[in-house]
Amino acid sequence: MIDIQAPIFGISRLRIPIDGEGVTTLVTFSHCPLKCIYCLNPQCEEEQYAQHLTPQELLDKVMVDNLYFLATGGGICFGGGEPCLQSRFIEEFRKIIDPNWKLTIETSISVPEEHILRLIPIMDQWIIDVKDMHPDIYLNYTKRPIDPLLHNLQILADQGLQDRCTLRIPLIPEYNTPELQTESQKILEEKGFKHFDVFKYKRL
Amino acid sequence: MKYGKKVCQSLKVVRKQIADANEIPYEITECPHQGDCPGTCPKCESELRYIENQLNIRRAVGKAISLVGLSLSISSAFATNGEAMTIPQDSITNQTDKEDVLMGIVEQQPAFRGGETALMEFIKNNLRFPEELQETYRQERVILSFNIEKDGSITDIEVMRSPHDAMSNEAIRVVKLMPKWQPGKLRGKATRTKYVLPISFRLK
Repeated sequence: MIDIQAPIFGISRLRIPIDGEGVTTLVTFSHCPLKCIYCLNPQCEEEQYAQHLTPQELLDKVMVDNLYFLATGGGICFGGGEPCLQSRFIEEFRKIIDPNWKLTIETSISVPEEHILRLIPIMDQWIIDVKDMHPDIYLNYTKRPIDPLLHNLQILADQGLQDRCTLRIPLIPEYNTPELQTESQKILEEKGFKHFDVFKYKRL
Repeated sequence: MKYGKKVCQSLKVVRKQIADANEIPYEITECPHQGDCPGTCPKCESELRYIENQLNIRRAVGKAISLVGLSLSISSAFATNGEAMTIPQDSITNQTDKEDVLMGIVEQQPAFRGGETALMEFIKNNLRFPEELQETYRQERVILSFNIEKDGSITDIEVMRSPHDAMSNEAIRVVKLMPKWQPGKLRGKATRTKYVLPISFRLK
């Protein structure tokens, strides 16, 4: 196996039914290319919270719920931070787990396309945090351009993976409106996406 | 009911389903854990390890294990249970819709009169190995689910897993022969409960 490690700042067991079907364990990776104002996990950029694990070390930690995963059709949900940046780690992890475990990724897909192409064959479900499909709003809110998101959405659409994707479109206070949310959904429906999670961000 | 306690109760049902499907003795009991429930506790963890060890023993002696996909309905059952536990008792017991069945989340489990030994004896005395399958099958298992109504009668028998229709029909025939059960109880009152029963066919 390739000797690879990833910075992981959280492992949360026994989540039902938050991250897909069945019992899941959420594994959150450090670091994110976006700088969202309402980021849920700002600690993902603070190195002192991370532990650096190999795929085998992560497997040893999550294996405790193997029976639950197999019986309920659950598995691991990768979040963050931006989990797609750890595509090589996830690829190695997939090789050593039970093939019946389901893998879900909760991602902005605002990453270089090589990561998306690597993950497509091994990911069962994608939960994509689209945020907003209007370039200026996206830039204002995330401080990053929308181009990687659009490019990678197109890759997923071209491969006919719309059924495996749930797209999150939040109402972001002071950044978009319910009308703009609806517009974003329509743009995505035109690309063949069908599953949406439309909700409102709250300030904590 | 708080989220952690709901997770705990759902996982108990999963453990029970795994145990029943593999003929591992296991009964659902209350946790002694005090304070907020995070979804698991030392008692729950030790029960999970016990079932895991029992499965390993069965594997070691070459027995087939039933595990993958046994509890696929956990996510929908989770939502159903949450509602059922918060609505008035009369609303629960007066409902007849399938969605309102309590998936094992009861204070007292339903029981075959005379207990588990009497149940096994009843099945053994009535179950016939289908004649037409005697050349092709030797030892198989059918898993049925059904509801125990509040008067102890059995309804809505469904085949969850079966190698052959003839075995499904025979297993259903035997369940239909059963006398009324002692119903499950919630807050001291009889309530409708779902039950999963593995039935083993062995050619003598």
